[in-house]
Amino acid sequence: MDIETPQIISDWREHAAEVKVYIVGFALSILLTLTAFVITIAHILSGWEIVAVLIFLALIQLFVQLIFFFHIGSKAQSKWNLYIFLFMIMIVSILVIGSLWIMTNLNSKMMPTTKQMIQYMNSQGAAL
Amino acid sequence: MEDIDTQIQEAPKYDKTDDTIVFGFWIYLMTDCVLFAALFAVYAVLHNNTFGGPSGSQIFSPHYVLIETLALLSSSFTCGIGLISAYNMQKNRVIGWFSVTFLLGVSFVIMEIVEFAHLINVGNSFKRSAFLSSYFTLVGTHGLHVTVGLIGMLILMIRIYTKGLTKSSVRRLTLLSLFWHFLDIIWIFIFTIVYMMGIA
Amino acid sequence: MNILGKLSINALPHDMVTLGGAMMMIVAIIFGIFYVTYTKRWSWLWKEWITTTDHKKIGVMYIFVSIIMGIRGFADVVLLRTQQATSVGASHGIVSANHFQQIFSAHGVIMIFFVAMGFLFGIVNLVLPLQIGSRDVAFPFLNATSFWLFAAGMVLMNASLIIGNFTYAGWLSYPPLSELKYSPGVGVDYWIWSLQIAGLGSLFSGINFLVTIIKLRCKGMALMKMPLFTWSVFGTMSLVILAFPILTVTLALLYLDRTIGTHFFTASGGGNMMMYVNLIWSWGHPEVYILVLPAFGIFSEVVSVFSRKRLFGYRSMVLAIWAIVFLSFIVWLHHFFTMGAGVDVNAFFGMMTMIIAVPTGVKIFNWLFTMFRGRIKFNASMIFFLGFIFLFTLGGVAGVMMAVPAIDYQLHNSLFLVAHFHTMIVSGVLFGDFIGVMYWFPKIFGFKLIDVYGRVAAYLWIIGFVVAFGPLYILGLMGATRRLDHYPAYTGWQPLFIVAGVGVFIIALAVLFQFIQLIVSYRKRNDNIDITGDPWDGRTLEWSTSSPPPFFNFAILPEVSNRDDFWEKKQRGLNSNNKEYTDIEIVKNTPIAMYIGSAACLFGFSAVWHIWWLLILSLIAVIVFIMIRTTDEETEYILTASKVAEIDKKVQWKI
Repeated sequence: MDIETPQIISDWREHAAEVKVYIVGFALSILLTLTAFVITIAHILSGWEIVAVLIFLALIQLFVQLIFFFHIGSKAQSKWNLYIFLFMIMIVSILVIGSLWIMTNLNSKMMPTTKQMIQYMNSQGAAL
Repeated sequence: MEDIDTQIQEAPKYDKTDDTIVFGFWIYLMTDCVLFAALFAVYAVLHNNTFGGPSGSQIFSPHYVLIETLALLSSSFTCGIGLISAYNMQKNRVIGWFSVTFLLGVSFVIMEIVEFAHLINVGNSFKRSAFLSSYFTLVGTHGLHVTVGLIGMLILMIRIYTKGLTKSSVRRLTLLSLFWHFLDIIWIFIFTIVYMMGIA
Repeated sequence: MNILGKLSINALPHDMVTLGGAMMMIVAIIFGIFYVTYTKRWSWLWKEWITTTDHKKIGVMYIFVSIIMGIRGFADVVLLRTQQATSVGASHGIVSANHFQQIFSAHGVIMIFFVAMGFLFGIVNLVLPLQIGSRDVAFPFLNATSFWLFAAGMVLMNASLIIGNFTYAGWLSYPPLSELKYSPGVGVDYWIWSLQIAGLGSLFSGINFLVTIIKLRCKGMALMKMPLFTWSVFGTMSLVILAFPILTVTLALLYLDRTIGTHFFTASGGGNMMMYVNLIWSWGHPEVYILVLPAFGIFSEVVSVFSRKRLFGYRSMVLAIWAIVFLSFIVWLHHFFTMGAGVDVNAFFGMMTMIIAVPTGVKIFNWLFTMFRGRIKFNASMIFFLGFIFLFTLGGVAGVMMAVPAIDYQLHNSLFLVAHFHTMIVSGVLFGDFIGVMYWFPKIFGFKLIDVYGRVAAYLWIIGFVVAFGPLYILGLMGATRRLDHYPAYTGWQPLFIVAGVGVFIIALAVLFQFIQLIVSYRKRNDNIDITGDPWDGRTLEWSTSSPPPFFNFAILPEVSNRDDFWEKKQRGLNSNNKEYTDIEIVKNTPIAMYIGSAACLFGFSAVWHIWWLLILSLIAVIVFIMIRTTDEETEYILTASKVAEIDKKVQWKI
């Protein structure tokens, strides 16, 4: 580290946001959390619908917190933070979705359990 | 050369060392994301393997989880406010806001421990089934991270109390805040994927 | 509860072969201690090496460990080959089946984690900061810690030879064999913890080098002006930071299964052992690209310099690196085509696997185009490189064959597979690392290696490899499975195994010549001193320093304006030393990194043997050491400008 030029980049303050930003982020997050909560315990949706809605709400809250709490993509933060973050998201998606695809595929080709076999045979007319 | 550990009087300056360290920490957080992603993948694959034991809907208490979630979310907020105070050189406010953050965080951890203890007591421990193994590990790893963060927070508060806001303390508060916000984001997904989807 | 957990006198070796190995290791350690004591070098060792934070010294230590572990890995090879050449029909060879399984498991782990990764991090450490015009890596203390964690993993692995045993479930220890039920001993736990601790070191290095490249490049070095080796490290470290956490999780889950009774991968309780295979290869495939990409980077540097020609296709080389990085994350299922996934899944991953051969092919063509019409110097490095071209292409083609799931169903886990991956790793990674060491040796040590021994070694390696692994390709196609400790005589395989054994002998000769090269070059070093700092008429920044460089690398940080800027400046006869000296902040030496590594090693040992009180103590020790470091306010000292000038002028320059 060459200390002849201290290489001061900026004020720390430029990295903070205003209190306002945090309040908005906080409020939105609470809203999204409560929405997810209410929809879940009301049991008005099921199956794929509830999964989709919950994931959707979670992703929005992710964005909210990334922008309001992490200040991602803002001027104060280096562009590299964003690039590495996006790269990580891409790999994580591949890992999770890929694993789910592979494992579901594999599991569906496993031999059925005794219970499943009996159920199947009964459905075909046996009386077990 | 500026002594990095004396109380700074004017607005703290952010230099290349700080930039490098904060960036390095950011990358570490990215690796931690992958770690949690792997745990999520395991949970996703194994969550239906209840092996005759209880499933999520049978053991999760929605209201309890909501309180936990709001506690952690609030602590993320107070942490952010505390950091702003640090950048504005307001030592007492920093300690104040981070004390609140600490208390909220501790409440979160205690609630989680109580939940775990209860499950283990009634025979639904991590040994019961693959579902419970992955539940305990995913949520437990997050709780461990929170605990480490709380210990760090305590140590940092003590340092700031005794030595005031120094250049290194401001940087460490930044790192701590990044860590704390990151943990809340992971919790969003635990809340959604483990608890809400389990209950639905 | 036993105070020593599961540890007891029974843990010491039972059979002659293991006892022999353990004894040799102990004798070597004792010899080492006596030698250092006799030559009164303990304080030198402590001051110059154990407490160092200098990337160049850390790099040397990594490579030293790699070579030592390479000897052990090679000893494993000799045992394995001898067993397979002799254990036919009535004879059962020289080791028991269980022991054989431990040997091939250890062989794989040693070669990949401690030899290949060691060379990789060693060479990157040596070269990267110099190439980008920086004084050190971004976090020198973390760098030292990474090395000591690596060493801790190595110590654990070697401890398993003396106390207890190693996993017999293969270098990736699949469950259910690696679960407690079928591996009740400590072998798998040793495997888990030596990998976990060394893996943590790797992860930290990944972060360190990534930040170094992004933040510490000298003025004027835009991304597209970086040397190819630096680009390859950039790609590699991106892989490291994203892949290693997966390994961390997978190993941890297996340990939980074995220790607290969870059911992630167990046969009962709802566990899914296929998930282990899925996860471990999600890490495992990027890992092999982590190993090979830096080697590709080394080839780019060396081929260009020894062909005395600019690298062909800089841009496409960079794009190829990133294509490989991305693609390496979407091929992992090709390691378990036969596990039972459907056609659609297998087909997707098969196609992706074939596609990943394309950017690699681009690189090979670009290196060949670089050589075309160059003024080639056929030294040891270039011979190794040509051996790589020949072998890697053949081995790669074998890989593309197996990328077809239908073909893979025949060849999976056969000796054809074993031959394929050894071809890739030996001709790609190992040759690349050999070349790297020979190429940058004069920079680090100040004298050149005598080339003739290297050339002999290169020829012997290439010939030996063909003789050792050619038969394995054939055996695999004949149906021979891997990891066999015995086979019936009617298969007719023995002659081929014997030929393979001869090949190993030839390789042993090659390695002997490499050691001769090191020893004789050292003895005759005064005849081969690198006076100019630029023995090869190089193109990149590291050659603008003296050999060896001063510990701060550059007295005055360079400023570049072109790709291969040093070369450009040489052509124009420019002397860049016109600026003023300034004060420099240097990170002090510290033993804390070594202490952290030691505590981690103790932690691993107690986790293996279930010595819980020691586990907690060593964990607390690690935390305490970290806290000592973070509360230390004087981790750096100032080297004044006049001191810098003094050291700089002592160096002999001749550009």
